[in-house]
Amino acid sequence: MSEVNYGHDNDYAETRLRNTIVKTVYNTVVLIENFSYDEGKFYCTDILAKAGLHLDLEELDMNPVELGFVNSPNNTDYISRMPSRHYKQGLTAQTYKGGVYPNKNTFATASMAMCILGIYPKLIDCVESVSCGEAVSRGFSRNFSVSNTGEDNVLTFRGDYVGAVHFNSDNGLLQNRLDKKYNFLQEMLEYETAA
Amino acid sequence: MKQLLDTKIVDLLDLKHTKGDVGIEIEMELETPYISTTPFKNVWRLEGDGSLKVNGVEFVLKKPVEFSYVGTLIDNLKVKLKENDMTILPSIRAGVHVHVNMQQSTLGQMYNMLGCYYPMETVLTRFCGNGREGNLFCLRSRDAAGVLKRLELSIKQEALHYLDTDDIRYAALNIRSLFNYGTLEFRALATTPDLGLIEDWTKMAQKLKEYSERVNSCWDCMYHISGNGGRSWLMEVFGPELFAKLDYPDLERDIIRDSRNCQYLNSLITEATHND
Repeated sequence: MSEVNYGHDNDYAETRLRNTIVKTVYNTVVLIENFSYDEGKFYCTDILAKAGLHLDLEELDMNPVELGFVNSPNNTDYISRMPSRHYKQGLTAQTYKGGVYPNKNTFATASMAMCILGIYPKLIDCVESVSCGEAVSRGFSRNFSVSNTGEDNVLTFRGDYVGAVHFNSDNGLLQNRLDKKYNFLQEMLEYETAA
Repeated sequence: MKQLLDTKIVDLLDLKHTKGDVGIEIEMELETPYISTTPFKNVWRLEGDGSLKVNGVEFVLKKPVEFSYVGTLIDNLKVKLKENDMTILPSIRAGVHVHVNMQQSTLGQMYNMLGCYYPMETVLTRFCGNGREGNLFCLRSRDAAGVLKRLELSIKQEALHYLDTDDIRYAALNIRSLFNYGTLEFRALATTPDLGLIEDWTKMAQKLKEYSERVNSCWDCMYHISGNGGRSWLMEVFGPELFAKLDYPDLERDIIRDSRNCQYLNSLITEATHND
């Protein structure tokens, strides 16, 4: 659990949490709408289940949510939280930046919730998806994605080119090939792919 | 880029020259409202602070001081607080902001210091007291990686304006303050009721700066961590006495995680600072 603890100060907590995204202790992702005085709890929307529910402060995880690649049906966008002077503990539409889409297209979407929970398609499925033109790019972990440039399946780290992905013609297996200057990313790539 | 990297911050950003090593701001929430206005003149200036809630005040050093004076100034402040019956309450909103003067450092040295800082950021923040890890007022790069993206852009595009924005101001290490004061602002330390950690925290910032000026590049940190482990590295940076205050069982795990998070940035810094 987070060290950030508002105790029973629900009024103050609401100023820091209203309209923000956090995880819950149940490993779900919610958008906090407001504090309900009738219920004595925060009214939230479970983003994946698309259902409203009331939660206590103790059920909300104040740790900043982990971000990374957010997959949409035909593209992917690396988003990261900005340490903005914005006075919100949870994630708002104003406190993160991506490179492809306006935030209104990603905020509080199921794709974002999947990213926060670290749920990604397998690398082989991503390669197949971009190879056949179904998608321009796909993230297969928080920090790595594959894109098809027309000639090659490009491997990116947080959206920056770092190598390529190929099928080995001898054994048919998938091979990541980091450019020599990015070899230091190998350990992280293996760690995230294994996860 | 090389020319930019070899230019002193004070000249690069056309700042007013400021002497002294370190400036300090101490936010605090008090048990009772502060009334007297006389006892802190000369050294500290008192200001209000909108982000605080319960009887909030902020003590700001009027002028930067040398690192060696910090201990005495904090001791004196504790005495004055006691004389004025000012009792500090624990609060997740109140922090100590330590501004390390970087005016006489080059831009390359500044990047190098950042590259040495990020692999130890979780360890340092853990030292800073309860309620600081993940706190919106001092987000680590693992909480808000946007600061790393901004730094990467500033190097790749050779454009410092990517850092001159409030979008990165509430980072545990605030780079934005370079543009106002020529400082790197360490925001992570909690204001504890006894003001106990400030001297050690300031010493850590000093040691980090000295270490980053000593090493060939911030990539040396990565070599050291990978070859000898994070504990050995921190021992080299801080020495045994300060390191003992940072150590905890999962320290190696956190250093590896932070190193992975910043290694791409560190490779860019190293490439830029060593590319003739």
